[in-house]
Amino acid sequence: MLPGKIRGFHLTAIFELSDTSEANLPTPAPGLPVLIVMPEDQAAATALSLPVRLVVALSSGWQDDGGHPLGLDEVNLHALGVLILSNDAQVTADRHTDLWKTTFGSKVPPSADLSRTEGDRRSSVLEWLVECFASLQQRMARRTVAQARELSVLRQQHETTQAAFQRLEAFVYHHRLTERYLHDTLAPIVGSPVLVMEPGSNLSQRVPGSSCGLSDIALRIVNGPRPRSGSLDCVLHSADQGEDLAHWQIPAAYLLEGWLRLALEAALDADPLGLELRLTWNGDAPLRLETAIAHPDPRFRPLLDGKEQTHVPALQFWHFIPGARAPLSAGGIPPAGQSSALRERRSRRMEISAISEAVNLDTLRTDLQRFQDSDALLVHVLPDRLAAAILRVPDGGARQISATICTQHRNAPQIEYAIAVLPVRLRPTTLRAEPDFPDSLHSGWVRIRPMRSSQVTLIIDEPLDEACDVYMMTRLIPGQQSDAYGWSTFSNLTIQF
Amino acid sequence: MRDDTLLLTDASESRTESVGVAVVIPVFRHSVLLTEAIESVLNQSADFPVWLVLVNDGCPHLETDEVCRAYAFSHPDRVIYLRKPNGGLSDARNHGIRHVLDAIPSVSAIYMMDADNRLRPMAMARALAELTLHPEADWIYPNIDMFGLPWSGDYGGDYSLLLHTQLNLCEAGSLIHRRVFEAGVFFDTTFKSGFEDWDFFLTAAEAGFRGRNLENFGFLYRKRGESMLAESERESAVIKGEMQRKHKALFTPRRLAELEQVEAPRFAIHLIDRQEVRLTLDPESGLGQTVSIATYQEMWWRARTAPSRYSVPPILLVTRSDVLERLKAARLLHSAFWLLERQLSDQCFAALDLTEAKDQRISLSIDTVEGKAGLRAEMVMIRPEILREVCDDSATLWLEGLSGAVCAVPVGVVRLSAPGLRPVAPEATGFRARLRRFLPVGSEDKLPDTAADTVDVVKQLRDSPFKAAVGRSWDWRNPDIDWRQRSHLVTRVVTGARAGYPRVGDGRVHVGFLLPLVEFGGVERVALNIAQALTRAGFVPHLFVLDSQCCQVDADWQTAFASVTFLAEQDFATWSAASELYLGTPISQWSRHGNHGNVVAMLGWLDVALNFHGGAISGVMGKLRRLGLRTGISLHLSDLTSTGRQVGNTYNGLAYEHAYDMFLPCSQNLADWCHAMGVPEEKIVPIPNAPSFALTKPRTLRDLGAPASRSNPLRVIYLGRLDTQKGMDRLAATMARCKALNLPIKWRIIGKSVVHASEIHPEIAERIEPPLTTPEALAAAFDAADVFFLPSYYEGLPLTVLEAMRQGVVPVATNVGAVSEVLRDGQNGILLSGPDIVGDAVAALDRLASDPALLQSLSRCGQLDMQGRDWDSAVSGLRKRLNQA
Repeated sequence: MLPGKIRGFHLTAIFELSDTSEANLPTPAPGLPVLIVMPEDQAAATALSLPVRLVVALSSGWQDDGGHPLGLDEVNLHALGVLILSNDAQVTADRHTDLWKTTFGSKVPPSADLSRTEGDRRSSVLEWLVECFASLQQRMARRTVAQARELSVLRQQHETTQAAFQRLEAFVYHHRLTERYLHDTLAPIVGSPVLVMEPGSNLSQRVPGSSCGLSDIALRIVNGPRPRSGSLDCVLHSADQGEDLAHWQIPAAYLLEGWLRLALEAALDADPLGLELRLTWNGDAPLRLETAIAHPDPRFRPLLDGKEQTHVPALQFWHFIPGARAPLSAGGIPPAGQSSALRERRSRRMEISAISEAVNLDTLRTDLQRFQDSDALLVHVLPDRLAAAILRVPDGGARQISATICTQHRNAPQIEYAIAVLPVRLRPTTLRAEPDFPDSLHSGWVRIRPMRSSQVTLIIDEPLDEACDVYMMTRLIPGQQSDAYGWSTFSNLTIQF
Repeated sequence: MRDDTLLLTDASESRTESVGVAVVIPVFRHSVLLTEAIESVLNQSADFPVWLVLVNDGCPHLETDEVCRAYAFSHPDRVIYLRKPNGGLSDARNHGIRHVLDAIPSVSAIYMMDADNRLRPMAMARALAELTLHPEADWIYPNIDMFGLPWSGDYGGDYSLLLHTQLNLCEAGSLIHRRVFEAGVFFDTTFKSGFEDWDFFLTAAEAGFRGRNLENFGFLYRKRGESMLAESERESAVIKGEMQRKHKALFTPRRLAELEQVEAPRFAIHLIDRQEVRLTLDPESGLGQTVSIATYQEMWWRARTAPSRYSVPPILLVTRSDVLERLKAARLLHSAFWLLERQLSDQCFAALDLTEAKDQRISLSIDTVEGKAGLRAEMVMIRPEILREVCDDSATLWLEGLSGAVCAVPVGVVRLSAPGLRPVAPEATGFRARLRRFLPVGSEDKLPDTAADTVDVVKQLRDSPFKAAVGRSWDWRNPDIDWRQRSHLVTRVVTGARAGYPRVGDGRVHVGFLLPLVEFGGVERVALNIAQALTRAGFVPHLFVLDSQCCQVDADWQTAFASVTFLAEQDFATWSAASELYLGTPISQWSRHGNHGNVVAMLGWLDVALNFHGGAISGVMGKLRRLGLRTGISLHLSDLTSTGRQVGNTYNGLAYEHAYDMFLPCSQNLADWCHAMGVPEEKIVPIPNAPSFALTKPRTLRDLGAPASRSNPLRVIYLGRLDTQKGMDRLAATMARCKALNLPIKWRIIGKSVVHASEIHPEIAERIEPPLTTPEALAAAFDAADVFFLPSYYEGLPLTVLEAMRQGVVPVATNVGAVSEVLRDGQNGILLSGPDIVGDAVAALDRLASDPALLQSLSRCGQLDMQGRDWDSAVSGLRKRLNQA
């Protein structure tokens, strides 16, 4: 029986109330509402040709008018009422009431006692049925109204929660609390065996710890001959959900020595799951992974081509607010096959470790320092020329680049900050050569007082298709001569794609 | 996983090809949250049908009916709505299960779901796949991931029925194979306060079914501050007690030990000489597993890393294989393990020191050596917590104190001395053997230093590379089977002991003989003979010495008993201080109110426990009986107070009549007394005494020849303990009067005096010969006598009378106890019944000395009467009882 058929019958039954022609009556079918009759009344009830199923109540159970026993579930579910057509049946009906209570623990359905009714009994029954359906309809309407009211309450609550959450999000972003943090490291151990993935090899590793808030997982690639072609497929699988949560496809060119950081778009939510990382290597040479400790629990040992290995791969785990998206790290590899919407909204946050790799425009060397071990890069203002840090943007297509700027000494002069972008091919190759930035790729200069934090943002209307550098620049305001205490810094460099 | 020995039905027979799952949700007062449960079931992603059976358990909320009805109408192909009068959770579940069994034959498994919980979409698919993949499993149970009050519990690792007795580790939300219900296992409707799921799975396990954990089942449990579970926890003690009563057979030390042996062996026996580790509970059982040291180390650290999931024997024991062999030969292996483990309650280490006994005795002493002397040991046992601490510690100085010149750590030393326990030096092999030729004489005999070996073993374990895995958070669920690392304590919960006795059954009937002491007394000799007779009949007797730490064990004893165990309980005394009297016999405080834990543990694994004048031990018999043991008390005689009132073991037995299945009187006379005093006839199984030692060569009827004369005096022997009960004063007076009458009698007095020397009459003192301990010497003594004289004030049925008669020695004895049961006056001996015992005795001896024909007649009649009187016949009634199921 399909959903809705009962409702269909209701209508049919009501429409047909006025039609007393037996030939036109629909044939009662299983699943239709049931009227219970006593054995004494069975013949009389059948003769009424009612548009319902008749079920005969016996002392030990119920049967249909063909004499077949009926399941208790069917009787309980479909019984609409009890029809009494004779005085003898009234006595039997009392016994039936006891049977019903004993069997179902509930009140017997309402009865239509027509034992003393003269005249057109069929019409009487049909009128009674209409009353029953009307009552049912009224009850269902009350239920529907109640549920609609409850939904509206929940909806209002939802709106309040949404608004509160939006404010919380704004606060988080305003305070730059958008960094994925390193939660745990299974550090490589000198002398531990190397996991060698031959071309075509599979490796699976159960992810230790809680999945709640997991945002990145990193493997560590051993120093050695680099594969020149092929790719590493990585899958994060959830056993609980029976599905893959993320998939990364990493070309051989990206498989450099050191940590290989697989980033999720959003941290996994608060509902904890069991996770497994599955790797498949298809390349032209073996891929070698560093390992951490030996593990006594087989569940946490890696399976390399189905063979259990004693040592766990060296791994790092980053976390973020469960279920929330955070900018990718500079070295984080986003999952493959993202939707275009996700791709458009993607952003990267360049951690200090990445920013520290910036090239000094003044020396063309990577000699810039972190400011006092903070997360800020010191691009010390120069007295007579532009100071700049040049950093390769990890991906093409940047739409917006922003950074926090601050001059970190109260005795510093006023300093101006700017961000600009140029194709890599235009990077200066001679000392002190100042690039020529088109206005569309330059943020404009932002002047700030010492010890005041601010932000500089570059919005790129037409993203460049080719590989780019971002320039983080500082200069003295006109008229200033001394760069003393010119501790000008950039931090929280975030790139929106 | 599956215990096939307990399987009531062959599961494979009932297995069908049906595939499909039915989820049964009983509903009572959960009309709103129910929809989440229903939706999560309807949202199951599976390639087989998932039916939902809603059981309205007479819920008073109209809404419940409407919600259920609505879903049944909306999903008529998947949702079945049942309604019934309120009968409780178990009843509602059973109602749903029965409906499924009757109405949906294609369902292969049924999942039990509570109305306020949820499932992840893959839950049923994963659970049924697991059930199919592991045909040895009969239900798949989840870990518990809670929402509401969030928490996650790990119930993973191998299913253990042993641990299940202590912890409700299988959540009701399990997928249960149809065959479990078809075998008649349902929820017990009397469990209305909770833990009905615990009871259900224990019932299933007792019927031979087994569970299996599915780590990522996808079961989500709604946890709120107040719930049925919270109510259950509040009443847990009562419910657990009820459960224990219901599953009586499961909660016995014997059954728990069997499970411990198979599922969680208690000991890791590190054998230095073999460089291997034996994992077992029972050191003699063949069921144990032997692993390499590397494997053991890996197991140990695995259990440390995931303590809720993996078992490792909690107690590490370092020794050598020859030590085990020697202990086994001396029947002391289990006893030694048990005594050592008991020491671990107070000490960090327990050590066993073995010495060769100079005589036929086993003796035990227990002391400590910390700060006093170096530790000499052949076996060292380490307390589990200490082993963990030592392995976590980077320094080894404290540990090395174990093997220092003066032991610097707390060690309880169990010292056992017995024949055959002589320590031996390990046999040198390889390079060491070749080197011996160049070593000074004697240097090769150096005994192994097990204390130093233990230090090395622990250091090796501590230095394992797997140690690095400990201390990190690997599993995100909280380990929640804390009993996994305390499995050795499970039997202690039932017994209240400091250590469970490390022995498992082997299908034979094991009979414990409980004696306060073992010397050369009549009771001991009766016990020995019964034990020998039972051994010949295929039973396995074990000796338990209750109130002494040494015992006499000659070859007969060694062969009669499969093991010897000393209770070594300071609080126990056979007859200790009493504040209550039963019919005038004191009932000791220990018996009524003492800590019986160790005794229950020591005996709980047996099939039968027989008390041989163990006095206070009667107080434990009721507990043992409740644990499924059959209990018996061997009765020999009533003692007499100085005023002639009967007291002693007979009355003690009456006081505990309810605790005994069998009363084993040594005579019909005593059997009648027991019945007269209220012991039901069916409980009385007489074991009539018989001669206590076998004759090495058959005896013909004796020819006593001519009348006694100066040159051929009547040889009268007294053989037995020299104490007041035996009528020493009568003996002395009789001897004196015979001497005064110048009767031709040669007296011989053999026995050990238990009274002060000043109380022994000079007439006797000058003739005392030491006790005879061998059958040969006893036979020779009787051979060299014509008359056996026993003027006791009270007796049972003395063995010496029977032994004398067997060899044609005519008994002249007082008519006490059951003596008249065998001694018929003037027919096979002389019975002294009159008021003038000494006068009658002198007259009798005079007559026997002067009338060789009478002597001959009595002798022959006695010999004939004793023919066929042996212990195999004596124990026939007991044998029959023990063979009854």
